[in-house]
Amino acid sequence: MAYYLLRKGYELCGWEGMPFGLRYPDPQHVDFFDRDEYRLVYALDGRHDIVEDNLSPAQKDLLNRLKEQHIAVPSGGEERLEPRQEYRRYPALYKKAVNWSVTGRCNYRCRHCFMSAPDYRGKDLSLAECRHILDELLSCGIRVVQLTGGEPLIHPCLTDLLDEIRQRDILLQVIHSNGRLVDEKLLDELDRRQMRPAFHLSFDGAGRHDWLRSVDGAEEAVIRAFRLLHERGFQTAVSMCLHRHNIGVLKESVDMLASLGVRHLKMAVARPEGRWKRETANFLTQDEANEAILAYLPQYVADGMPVSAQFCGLLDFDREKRIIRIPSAKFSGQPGEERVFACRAVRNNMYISASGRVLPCMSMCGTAMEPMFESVLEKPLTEILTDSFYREMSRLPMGSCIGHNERCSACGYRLLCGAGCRACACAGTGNDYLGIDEEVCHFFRNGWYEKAKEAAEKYRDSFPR
Amino acid sequence: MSEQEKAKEEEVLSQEVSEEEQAAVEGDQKKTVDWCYLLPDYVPHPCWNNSVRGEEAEEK
Repeated sequence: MAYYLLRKGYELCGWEGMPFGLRYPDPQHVDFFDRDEYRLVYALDGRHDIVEDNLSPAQKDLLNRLKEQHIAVPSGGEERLEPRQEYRRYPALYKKAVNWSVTGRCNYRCRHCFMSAPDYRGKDLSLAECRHILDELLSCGIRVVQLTGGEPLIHPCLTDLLDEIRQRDILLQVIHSNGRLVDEKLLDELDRRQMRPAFHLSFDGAGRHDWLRSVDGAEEAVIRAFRLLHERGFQTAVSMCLHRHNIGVLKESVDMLASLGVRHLKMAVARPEGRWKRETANFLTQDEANEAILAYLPQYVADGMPVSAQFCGLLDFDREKRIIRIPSAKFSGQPGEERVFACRAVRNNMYISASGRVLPCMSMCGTAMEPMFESVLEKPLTEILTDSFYREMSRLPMGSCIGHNERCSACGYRLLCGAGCRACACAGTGNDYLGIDEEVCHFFRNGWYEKAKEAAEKYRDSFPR
Repeated sequence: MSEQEKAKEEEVLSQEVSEEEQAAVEGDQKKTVDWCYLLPDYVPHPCWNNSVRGEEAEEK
């Protein structure tokens, strides 16, 4: 007789179309199995006598792996799974995580804010509404949240919200912030609740930050926040918007962020949306940005790639994985890709706006599409994830976008770009969510893909040892 | 195990898997992602050799 039990913290779970899941104690991690394998996983309940000779080769391999990892623990046949470890099926699409704007308000007046947060006139989500949303997330098996805004740290019930998140055993994975309100007291509150979110802060160039943020002392404040977070052991990453006034300080910015312990930097050209539409003189074209990046890369490599950095849609250098990616090329280019979902990020993650609307991603805010999405304050999330325009959007095959556009159908790059980002297409066309993302189209049709490949091949052996 | 538990097990294990959902979520999967990574010791993905390059793209 051989009985095994799932180790404490591991939970059997399933979702629509993905019924055979095993959630790890770290709720970001869910493994999915096929039916044969899951027959074994399901039997790790201390009650099934597992006779190894009767297992399929795949089941044997799996059992050995689970034993090695101490996920399957030998049992005397008396112990049972804890109630929360027993199989639970969530009647909804699987979502890994939610990015949640708890407020649309902001304490800064950024020139480029695509949400126009400084002009936001809505109310913050009340604590009762936040509780409701958290319960809705749990009802769909979503146990990972990222807080964003506006500026999430100005929410008047922030510490109560942290308690509510903690009480539900939801992982606070990331706080997106401008850093102004990051202080010892906040970090103490997080420590007290044993929360260790990463902080993704905005930083728009050494010596240039205050201009974009329209607030004196913003750069000093965010540098202080980076230092404090580093001292206290919180991971940090940065989003940087490129424009005419900061494209000349790439090296200074990368070096400064590296010295502040930042792990990852993501650059993007500020798009002409929201308040940035007023700033036409400061726009940077994709060509200008890419040329500046390519000119800087030899220095970046010579400096030992000080931080992992995504340079817009051109190149993404990951120091830890030692890989270089071309972000604009989202698909394999191989036949059959038409069936792949148009955006994996959207398929896997969800965004909840400051008014409770469930959107595919934050970049859909402010587009003509936004009112088409329903609010979790008015409709159960299980219904939004099973029958709604949101669901249709999050399961959109890439081929639908290609087929919708004559230009795409005739283009040799179509299976690499997939017509680009849906949010960018919406913003660019007004409301055509199947339309073309012109920035990505420009990238491929103007030789940037080839230049990116050439640079990736040139630098692929240049990662620091 | 009780009859009720056996019935529940059967019900759980008889559910249908959507391969496209699973591939999308896990995948971050080889077929859709690995191609765009260049590992220092990488074997070039077929699309790097076979994919359509600029001039061919214009022809198509």
